[in-house]
Amino acid sequence: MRKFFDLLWTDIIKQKRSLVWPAAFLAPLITEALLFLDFYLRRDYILNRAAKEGLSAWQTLVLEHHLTALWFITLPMAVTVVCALLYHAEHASGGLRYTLSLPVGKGRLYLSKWCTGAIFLCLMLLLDALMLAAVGKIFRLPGGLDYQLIMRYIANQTVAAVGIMSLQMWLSAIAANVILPLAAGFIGITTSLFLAQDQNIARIIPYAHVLYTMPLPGENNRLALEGGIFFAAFFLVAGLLCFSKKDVTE
Amino acid sequence: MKKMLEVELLKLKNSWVLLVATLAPGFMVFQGVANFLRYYELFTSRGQNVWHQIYLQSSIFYVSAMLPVLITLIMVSIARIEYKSGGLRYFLTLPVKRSGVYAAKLIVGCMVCLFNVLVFSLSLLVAGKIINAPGSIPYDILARPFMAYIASLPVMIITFLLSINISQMAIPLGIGIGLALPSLLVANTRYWVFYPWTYPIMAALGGDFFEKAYFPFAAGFLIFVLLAFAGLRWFMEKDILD
Repeated sequence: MRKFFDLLWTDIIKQKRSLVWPAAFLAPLITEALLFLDFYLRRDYILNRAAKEGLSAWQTLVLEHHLTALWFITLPMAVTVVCALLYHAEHASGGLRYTLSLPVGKGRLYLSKWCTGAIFLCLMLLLDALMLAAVGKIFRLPGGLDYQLIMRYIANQTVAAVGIMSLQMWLSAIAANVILPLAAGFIGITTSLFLAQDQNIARIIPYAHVLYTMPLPGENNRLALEGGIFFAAFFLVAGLLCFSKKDVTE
Repeated sequence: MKKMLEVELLKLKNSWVLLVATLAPGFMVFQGVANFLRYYELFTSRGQNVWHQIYLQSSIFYVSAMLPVLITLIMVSIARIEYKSGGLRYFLTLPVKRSGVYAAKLIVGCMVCLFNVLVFSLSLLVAGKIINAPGSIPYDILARPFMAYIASLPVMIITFLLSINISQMAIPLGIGIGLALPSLLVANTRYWVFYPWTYPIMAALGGDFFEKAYFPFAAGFLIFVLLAFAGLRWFMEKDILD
């Protein structure tokens, strides 16, 4: 177990000056900037319209954040980029070949990378949630800060995004050419935008699950949660199996 | 020059870029047609042209999300091949014209993007035939993607210059994708003229409804030419060791 935590710590240290940090933090920053502009330009209109539909001000904030500010696209894209960058540094410097030649176990190595990705994902979602609450406070949304809503929103997103992360980690680990996992991710995300509207199809596309993470009335959060857990486990096992068979010289 | 273009194309042979440029538009048309068939009644209830509806459903996310992201990926790939193996440094020490190297890379990048748009148009035709779309093919649905291509020229040159100047692949990639994401929102405001990432959207989907219909093409072409020459000048003066 200690070896695993050493590996995990090494992986995190490796990212100290890497571009994974800006990639992970710019995504929520851009989205919140868009949300801020959206509320700055049409706060009253948005709140009035939402009130007619029976949504509270904080629920409206989540809705605008998710759909209008395009977080449902930005989050999967950011996850794709972060996963690709985590492995790109290794493939580019030959570090993976060196680490694979050490007596650490391929499974542990893959798991430590997977956990590094999960840590960055959690940091990204935490930052996003903090900024989301800040935007709500800046625009003095009626009613106190809805902690429960935001916590549920983060939890749903974490589970749904872990499914994507697991898939992207697997693709990034097996492909030495970084373009491949990036292209697969971007094509998957953009292709699923329309397909995700059909819940039966959305169930089998991990990229579509983020769309169903808003904790609002009528939203099928179960689809995101079940899909996220299933694909996270499935692609983690697939990744572990593929990586453990990976040739050191590849 | 011809030899240089051949060399650049050869470098891309095993880079997955051509495969991505071929498959991605096909997927976009597939999801557009799937959406059209799902809401068939809604999209045809007022006697709308089926071909136009297929085009509209396929191109909404193609021009707003997929095309700018693919352009970024293509340009980053072209530059990455050189930075990965130190090839650019080696290339620049050879007795070849720097302007030739620069032009060949830019032309090949633009050609791959054009190929992507061609595949998109072809996929539209095939999809229309598969679902037995009635009536003759309205040729404006084939011309529009090319108009979007011309309007994408500023995106191409900006991502090309970033990719060729910065060895860290993540920076041009992040900038390209980061700027592509808000384009659909900006396109709905009057500030779209200041944001080149919206030009392909306006060219492909703007129709006759938006003012300054000439703007994306005129401004796009002008920005492309200006930045291409500025980039060339910089490339000519670039230190081999940079």
